[in-house]
Amino acid sequence: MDRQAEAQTIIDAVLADNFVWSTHAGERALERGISTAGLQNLARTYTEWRWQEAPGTHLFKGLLLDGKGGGFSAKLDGSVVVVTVFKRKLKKARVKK
Amino acid sequence: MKRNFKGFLGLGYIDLHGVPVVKLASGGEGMHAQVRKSVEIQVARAIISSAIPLRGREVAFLRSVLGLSQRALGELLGYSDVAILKWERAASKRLDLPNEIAVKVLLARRLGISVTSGEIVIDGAAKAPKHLVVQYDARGAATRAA
Repeated sequence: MDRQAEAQTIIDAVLADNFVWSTHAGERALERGISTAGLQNLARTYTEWRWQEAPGTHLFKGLLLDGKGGGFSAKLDGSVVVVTVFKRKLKKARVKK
Repeated sequence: MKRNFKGFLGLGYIDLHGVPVVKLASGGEGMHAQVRKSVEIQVARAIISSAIPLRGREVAFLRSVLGLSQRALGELLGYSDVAILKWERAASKRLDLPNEIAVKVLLARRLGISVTSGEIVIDGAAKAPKHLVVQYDARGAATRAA
């Protein structure tokens, strides 16, 4: 499956409630982030997508329910779609000098 | 496998107990979307039925869980989206009582519960709780332990 087809699989899974939220941050994993409705709104209306080579994830950016920018990254873990990072604001990529 | 979590979507006082998680093939753990959705609804119901005073951060939480934009919530209440934005920006400031009652009644209906006068805090000095324990219920009903 090419990257674009993978991205479409991720969006379809997110909109169908057929995915897993990563809880890699442990006990505090749910404190920050966005609601399921907010994530699905992003998946419906995202304006930018790109494949991130280093973490091996797809990054989607768009608008949250309150009109502010936000985004999430996700990957295919076998056949399961895992949403790994979900933020109101995404860090700018660091540029090495 | 079940886990406990502290804090939920900007509400640091929420303690979630007994939430089922799954092991991922690549290591680590995750929560299935349907479980997470159920957790969101259970926490929202617990906030409305626990007589917690509504502040900006509770309004933002309830609105986002119900999938409403600021404009949509404003239209339901007869306010502009800017009014809702101002409420939410004042994260620690309690809403005026008439607005608090209107928001609670409106959102409770959307969550499939009803509010009684006992769940509306008239005391202006009431503060947010230090902890609100929400025990995950696989059947979807919210139960409170403290």
